[in-house]
Amino acid sequence: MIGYFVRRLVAAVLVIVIVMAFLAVMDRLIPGNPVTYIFGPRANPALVAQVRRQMGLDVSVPVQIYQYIFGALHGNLGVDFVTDQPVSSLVMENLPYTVVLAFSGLALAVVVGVPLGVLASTRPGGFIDRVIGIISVSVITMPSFVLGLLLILVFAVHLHLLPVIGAGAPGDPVDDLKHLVLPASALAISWIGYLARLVRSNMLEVLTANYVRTAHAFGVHRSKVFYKYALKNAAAPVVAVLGVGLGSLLGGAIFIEVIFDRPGLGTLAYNAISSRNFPIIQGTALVIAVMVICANLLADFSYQLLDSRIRLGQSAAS
Amino acid sequence: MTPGSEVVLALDDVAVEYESRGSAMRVLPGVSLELRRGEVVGLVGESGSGKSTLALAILRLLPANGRIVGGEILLDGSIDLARLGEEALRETRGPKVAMVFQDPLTSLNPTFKIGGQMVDVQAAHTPRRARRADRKVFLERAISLLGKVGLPDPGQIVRSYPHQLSGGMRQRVMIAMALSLEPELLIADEPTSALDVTLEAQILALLRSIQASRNLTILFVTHDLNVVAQICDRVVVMYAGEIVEQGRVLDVFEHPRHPYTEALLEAVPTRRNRGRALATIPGQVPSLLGELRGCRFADRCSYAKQCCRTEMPPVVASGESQAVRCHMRGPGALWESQDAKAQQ
Amino acid sequence: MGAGLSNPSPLGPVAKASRRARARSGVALILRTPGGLIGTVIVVGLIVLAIFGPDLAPYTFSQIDVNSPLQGPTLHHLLGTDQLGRDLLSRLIYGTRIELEVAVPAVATALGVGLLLGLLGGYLGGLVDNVVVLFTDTCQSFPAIVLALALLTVLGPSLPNLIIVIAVTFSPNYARTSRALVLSVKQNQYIVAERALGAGRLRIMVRHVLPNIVAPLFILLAMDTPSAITTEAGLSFLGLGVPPPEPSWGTILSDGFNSIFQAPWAVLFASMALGIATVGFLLFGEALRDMLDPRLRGVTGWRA
Repeated sequence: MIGYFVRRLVAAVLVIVIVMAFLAVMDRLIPGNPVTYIFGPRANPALVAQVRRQMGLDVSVPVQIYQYIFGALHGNLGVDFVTDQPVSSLVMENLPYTVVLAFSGLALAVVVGVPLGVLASTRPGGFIDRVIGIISVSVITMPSFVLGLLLILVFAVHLHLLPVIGAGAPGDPVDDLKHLVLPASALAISWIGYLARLVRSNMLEVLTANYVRTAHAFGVHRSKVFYKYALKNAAAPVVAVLGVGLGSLLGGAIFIEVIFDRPGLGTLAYNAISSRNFPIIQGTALVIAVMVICANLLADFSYQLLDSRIRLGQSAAS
Repeated sequence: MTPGSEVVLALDDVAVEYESRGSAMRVLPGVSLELRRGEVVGLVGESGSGKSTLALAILRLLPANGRIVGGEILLDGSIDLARLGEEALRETRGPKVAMVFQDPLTSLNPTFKIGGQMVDVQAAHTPRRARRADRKVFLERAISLLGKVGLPDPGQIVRSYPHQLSGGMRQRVMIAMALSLEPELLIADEPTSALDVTLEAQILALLRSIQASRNLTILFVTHDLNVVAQICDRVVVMYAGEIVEQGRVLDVFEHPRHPYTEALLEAVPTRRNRGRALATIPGQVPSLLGELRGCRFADRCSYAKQCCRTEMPPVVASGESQAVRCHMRGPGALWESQDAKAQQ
Repeated sequence: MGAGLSNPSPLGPVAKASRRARARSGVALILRTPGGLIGTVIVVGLIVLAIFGPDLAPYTFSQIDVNSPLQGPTLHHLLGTDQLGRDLLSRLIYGTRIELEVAVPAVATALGVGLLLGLLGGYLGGLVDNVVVLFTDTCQSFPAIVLALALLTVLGPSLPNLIIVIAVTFSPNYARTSRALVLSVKQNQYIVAERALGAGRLRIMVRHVLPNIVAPLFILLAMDTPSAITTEAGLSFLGLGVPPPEPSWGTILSDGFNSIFQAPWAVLFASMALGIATVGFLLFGEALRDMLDPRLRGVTGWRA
């Protein structure tokens, strides 16, 4: 078991290094002369040279990779082209907002989605189950930014209920929360649908398992069998999914921040895109990638922990 | 102990259907059976004969698409299990009738420890919420029972998970669990089918000793005639949902009255037919969709006559203890075969 | 009972002939379920719209009418107009073509590349496999959007670049899935038997492994097309997609968003278009999956 953890950890570190290397040399992909691409053909030669140095284009590929990784490990992610600010401080400034948004979305999805799935599994084929099923299917497929737009349409444009711009007045947590409702919901809705379906089908599969039959055979109360025995077994795969979910939530958060005009990595990256401010994109991508890798690692570990007994049990049978 | 004459379980014309994609399959058309106190009755049949269905139906443990559609299941002469309310049924499962299943690995919850599962089972049948003190008592009972079923170091076992135990140990755990509520009837659904021969012998010995010490009534479902010979007092032979023969084990094995029983016994490899090709029963179990006329075994029966295909044979008493469902037997039968195809 | 359901069991050579017969009845089966019927109708409808729609649309997508911006549905403009007075219906129809033009080649390329990688890695094992796994893990560390963003920033937005970028972000999933399938098929006895009979690895890969893993991958293709569509729409929304005035649904959404407080029509109808498309492909993909593996079709609960 420890061996597995170590191997996964090593693999994760390896992936991070490759990610950094990849990002380091990405600017070489720019077609033609990268610098003129950014500044135009009449750029000041001194400026061009400086930027070339900044972009690491005056050295060879391995050196560029090495420089970037070395810098990154020391917290130096370069400086942005436009304002010369260190990228790492820009990223760190905006990171908390994005993290808060992503986690709120995740939390909302779990708090609403899991109970819905459990509810749907109590009477499979029944009215509630079908309603939940239809709603789940329809929202799963909607990308979160579209949902965000629709939410804005309904709640802000027509109903004037909730604020849509910004993250709320600083220092006022209640206002922050109000501003968080719509964006977090936009992120959460499709995950609610997905989790509800997943939990429902897990529960139904578990409920047909032999050990549930045994519990009933010995007269254990229905509700106890359902909640204690079945739910615990159905929950394990959900944890694994959540780890993967963080990745897609972070991706969706980018859109949500832009739509709702919230500060965060998404807005940072979006503004950098229009000015082709590559170092910012680079730094943002790196930080997000590291977060996703860590989240996947965590989810994998906890799934193994929860599930290792089941896995071991199945292999012992043969 | 010799079986008493008190009837513990009486199945009267029990019919079970499975629903599949809109059509209903009548797996058991109407089965009648009696179990007396202290008896060990073997329920024998090949796959698809309906024996497991019958066993599951008694405690209403059929899968979601299965339904009891007719008949009575009388426990102790008065309680109809087929019509009992939810709560009353729950109270019966365990303290009155307990069940042991075929595959102990999948029949035990993999994410809970053995001790917890056994405690939960006992706690389910205490009238008030089991407080912590009660749970301690239950745990101690569990440990003592695990010892009684022959498990070494029961204290360790209650702290273990099912996958940490071997197959034989798991089955003993299931038996201990079944005994923990002191039932009067034990239904064992192929409890040794997943075990190798040595383990099987041990489990059978265990069951025999338990049966003797508690005068337990056991319904033992199996496809293995050897097992029946080792542990059962009476045997009930099923084919395609019908009981075709039943009687004392010795009688049935030495003088099988039904062609199917005959064929089954013939197919068992013994010292006597060593070296010869194993006998098989040609043909297949008939499909249970739609109506079946006549004897269900007719297509594979070497004695079949015209009437066998058109009329359901009646149940007639035969020999000392046997009852058989066949046109060939009984008064006015087409032939009285004492030992026409006796074992050679 | 309640046991784990795994991939559809691979077929030996003998079963292939009957597989064709089953496929024919399977197609009829798809149409029998309400989900399958709706899904197929929508998918076919979108394809037809993409091919023939722009020629039948009432206006061209760039026809500007300065006098009637941001109108709601009227007789002249069945779905209203955008901020430049362009007919929304026509733009949405043309957008269908753009979406499919991007999504289908992108997903097909992803399938091809992923399949190749998965096949090589899964079957050859060893160093090749390790490289493939490392590659997929790396690509999947980025949320698809982030990877796409980064790549498009350096490459610049254009139709071919979009297809390439989306294909790159989707291929790891195919590589992973096909690799897993290959690994499970590889253990089958008849593969071992073929090796024992001296068949070359390439031959085995192509003739035996490949046909058996294609089916689940096609399901993935159907299910991924809507993802590709929404990814493209998202990128266009951010300004990294097909350049205007080409009306990708994302561009329509973006324009609509800028004027959302004045007129909700663009956002509303473009969202509906996206929703219908994604639901349609999803239903189709599910019906496809149910046809190929009936065991996965619903779960009957077990009642005490």
